[in-house]
Formats: sequence, C-alpha cells, structure tokens
Amino acid sequence: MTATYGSLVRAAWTELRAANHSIRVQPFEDRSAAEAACLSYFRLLESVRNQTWALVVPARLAGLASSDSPAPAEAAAVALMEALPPTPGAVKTRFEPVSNVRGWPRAAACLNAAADLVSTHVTPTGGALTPDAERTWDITSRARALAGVGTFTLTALSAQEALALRCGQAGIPWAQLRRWLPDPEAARRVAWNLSRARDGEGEVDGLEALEPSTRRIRVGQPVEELGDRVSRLRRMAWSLRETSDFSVGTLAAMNRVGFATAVHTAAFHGIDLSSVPSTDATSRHVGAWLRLLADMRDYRSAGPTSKHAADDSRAVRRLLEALAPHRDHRIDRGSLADVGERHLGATLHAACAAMAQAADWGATTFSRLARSGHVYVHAADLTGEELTDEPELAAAHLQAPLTLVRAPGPRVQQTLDRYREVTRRRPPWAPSDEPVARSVATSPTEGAAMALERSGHR
Amino acid sequence: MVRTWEEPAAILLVRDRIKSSGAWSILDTAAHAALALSLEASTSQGVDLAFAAMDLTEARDEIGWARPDLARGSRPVRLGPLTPSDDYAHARALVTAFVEEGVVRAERLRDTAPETAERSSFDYAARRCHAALAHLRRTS
Repeated sequence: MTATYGSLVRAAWTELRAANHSIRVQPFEDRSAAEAACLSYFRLLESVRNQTWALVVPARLAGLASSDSPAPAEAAAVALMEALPPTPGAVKTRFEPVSNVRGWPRAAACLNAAADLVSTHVTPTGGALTPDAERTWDITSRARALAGVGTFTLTALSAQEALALRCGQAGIPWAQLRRWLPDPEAARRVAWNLSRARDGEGEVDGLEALEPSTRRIRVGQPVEELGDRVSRLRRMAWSLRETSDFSVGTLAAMNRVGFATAVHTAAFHGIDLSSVPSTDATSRHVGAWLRLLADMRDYRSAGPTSKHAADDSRAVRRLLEALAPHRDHRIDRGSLADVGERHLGATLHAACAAMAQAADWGATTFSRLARSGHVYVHAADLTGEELTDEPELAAAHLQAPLTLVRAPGPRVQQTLDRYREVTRRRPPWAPSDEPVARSVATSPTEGAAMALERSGHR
Repeated sequence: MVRTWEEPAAILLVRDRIKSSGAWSILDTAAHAALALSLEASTSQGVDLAFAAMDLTEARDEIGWARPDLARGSRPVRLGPLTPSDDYAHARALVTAFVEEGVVRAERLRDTAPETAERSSFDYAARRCHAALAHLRRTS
C-alpha cells in the first residue's frame, strides 16, 4: 500500500489522540521523562510548522504580506507559524521517547512525511516537479488541508496544560515551565481561525490521495506493478512537454500502452469487440487509439526511443495480457463482488484515464516537435492530397521515395486530430459527469481508491 | 492483388536473404504494413493486427538494441497505404510472409550469435515474431 497525504495525516491524528489521552491519565516517572515529553511536544509543533510551509511555500510569503486581501487560509497559516511557541534552547536535543507520549514523535514523523510527500511534487519556489503539483496549488484543496492543520494544532495545544501539570509534578520548576510552555491562548485563537478557513466543500479533497512522486515499481505484485508503470509513463508524458527528447518513438511507445490498456479493459468488462457495432462507445474508443497508433507509424525523428518508455510499454503489455487477456471476454469481471477483481478493475479504469491524459500531453509534445522541424516522414509515405501543394515533396515522392522530409502541416494536423479524438472518445467505463483528464486520472492508485469508494468498498 | 505492395515486397523478401542485415528492415516493414492493414479491417481484426505490429516493433527494437549496426545498415522499405481497390486477404498474406521471413532471420541471428546477451535478445525477437504470427492467424 502506498502512503498518501491523507493516510499520513490520518495516522498523525491517531497518534496525537492516543498521546493526548495518555498524558491526562498517566504521570511521568521522573524529571528526565518529563523533559523528554516536552521535547516531543515541541517536535510536534515543529512538524506543524513544516506541514504549513509545505502547503504555503516560503516563496509566497512576500506576496501574502503585500496583498490587501490574501487568501484567508494562507494568511491564518502564516499567523499560526508566528504564534506557535518556539522550541526553547535549554531543552535537550537528544532523548528517548517516554512511554506515555510516544504518540507525539510518531505524529510528528507522520506530519513530516506528509510535508516531504508534498515537497516531491513542487520545487522550493513553488514550481511544478510533477503533473500532480497543480493539486497543491488548488486553492480549495490547500485551504482544506490548512484547515486540517489548524484543527490538528488546536488538538495538540489542548494537551499543553496537562503536559505542564505532569512536568511540574515530575520536578521541573514551575518558573522554567512557564518559559518553556507559555500561555497557548494566542496560538489557539489563530489555530481556531485557520481551522475555520476552508473554502468551499468538495466530495474528494484534492490532496487527500496525493502520493509520493518517486516510488519503486512493485514487481511481483502484478496489479500494483501495472499501476506503478502506467503512473511512471504518465509522468514521463507530462515531462516530455518541456524536455528536449527529440523522439516520436517515445510518444508511439506511450500510444501503444494507451491502446493496449483500452483493449484489455474492454475484455475485462466482457466486451467482445468482434460483436459490438462500430458505433458502440468501446469500439469508438479503441478505434480512436488504433487510428492514432497507425497514424504515428510513418514518423521518424532524430532522437531514439526512450529505453524507459519502451521497457514500461513492454511490461505493461505483459501485465495486461496476464491480468485481463484480450481474448477472454466471457463475463464482465467488473460486476463481480470479489475485492481483487474490483481492485484490478479500478486500476484498469485509472490506467485508461491516465493514458488519455498522457495522450493530451503527447499532442502538445508532438506539436512542439513538429513546429520546430524535428518530425520527418519518408517521401514515399505521403499521400496525393498531402503532395498537391508541395512540388518539392512531390518530386521527392517520385524520384527518391526514401528521402526523409519534414512532415507537412496537413499531415501533422491529422495526427493532432487523432490525439484529440482519443481524449474525446470516452470509454463507457469513464465517469460521465467529469472530463476524463480530471476524473480519476491523476494517479492509477488514486483512481483505484476512488473507484473503490464509489463502489462502496471503502 | 495489392499492386503497390507487390514490387517492394518481392524485393524485400528476396533481398539479402542470406545476410542477417535484412532482419531489421523486414520487421520494420512488416510492422508498418500491419498497421496500414489494421486501418482497413474491422475493429476486432484491427486490434489483432495492431497487436501483431506492436510485437514486430518490439522485435525490431530488440534487434536494433542488440546490434545497432544492423539497424544502421538497413535500408527501409515502404509499401505505402492501401487503396480501397486492394485485396485485403492478399495484403494480409503478404504481411504474414514478412513475419515468417522475420522469424527465420531472427532465429538465424540467435543461432549464430557469439554472446549470451545477444542470443537472448534475438531469442526474444524471435518469440515476439511468433506472437505476431499468432495474432495474424486470428485475423483470417
């Protein structure tokens, strides 16, 4: 199971509640244990700061400070960071967690991991490292996540008085405790404001299912491996828009995955393509992929096909054939109650949506390559219509058919139309009330989670 | 009959028959032709033809990675698009002939490869060609 932002925050909440309860009912063994508990508490507040910084990147501070009407959640978050008590220098930096507040360091570790997870998607200046970075920019998602931080902080601060009492009982001088643990009322007020600053309500929090951008391929677990590889291809498709990979072969490898995913998902749902009419939504969706695949066959470019894309393409085909053979369409496995089948179905749906999104980005990459003159065709592959207004190409077509010529505009436009067709022809299993690119496509595993939720399995 | 395909196909099937360098170009042409054919077939048959083309592309790339000199030294052959008057069954038979020839050449490369890594690549290419043949047979 891959950790998500939501799962890490929930784990932090569980630990926090346990520790808060424990400190109210159980005294410390000695002064040393009390000091360690104080440090755990400060570490917890530090992790709240880290979490806030991950959501409101430091580069935004100047803008927030100069704005007459900053976003309420972000303004409250900055105020909270200033209001939280700092870690006193007199506290030991090394300690053994004490038994009754062991939950605080664990909660801090979970929150820090959640902050790290967000950081794998954005640069320190707030730029995008991955296609999912936009989910951290979404004002509603961010406000809801920050409101969650506010509520978490309120709960953490609610244990401060009990902590001070237990520390005093364990022998730490009261004067020292007043310095270490100042009145939290101001911080509470700000945290309360932050907890109320959520903008709008949505069914699914955009950040909830965010996963780390870097993760290993889970070889040996076929369904997870399929999701991981499609996820990696999707990310590659996103990065290709701006990187200098001069290869149409890489785009073709991705299209092969998109096509295979559509065909195998149809088989998973018991759809026999030989018996459905050509006007059927599945047939049109598969047909759109097929036309794109065939359309790309003529292109040549200077860059070699990415070995990673080719390897993933092969592996995905192998996995699809093993998990949902394209000739096996006896039953609609998507209608079965078996949890494993539902998990596979959700992963396949998400893979289809992810590859449709990859096709959208692929069109951008292809357009950029073509505009900059990096896409070629053999003169022999040009049709009469494409040659009509191009005497030089017509001459090459007749005299030197193997000459590589720059792909003419109408030819490029045809390919872009094919790409558009793939993203427009929705398969019947795609949710009908949302555009494909924003439905479940942001990550295969997220798609699996969302589909399971829809089917009532979570 | 597929008149536009006849001549280049005959050249490809005969040319360099005893040399290994023809393996890459025959697989390249076969993949290209299978995709051209897939556009003229029904969706179901088109899927099998596209899967065959994908297998052939994998086989071609594997040979190219194992022996870059074979890819560099190969002359591409283009059959061009099919026209409505072309005979689909004949075109499919030509593609099958290419793939059968591709199998022969990939297996010859495998059997004469001096190193294990190369042998393994050519063996993979031969297996992909067999898989492509299986897909093609389903379209008959």
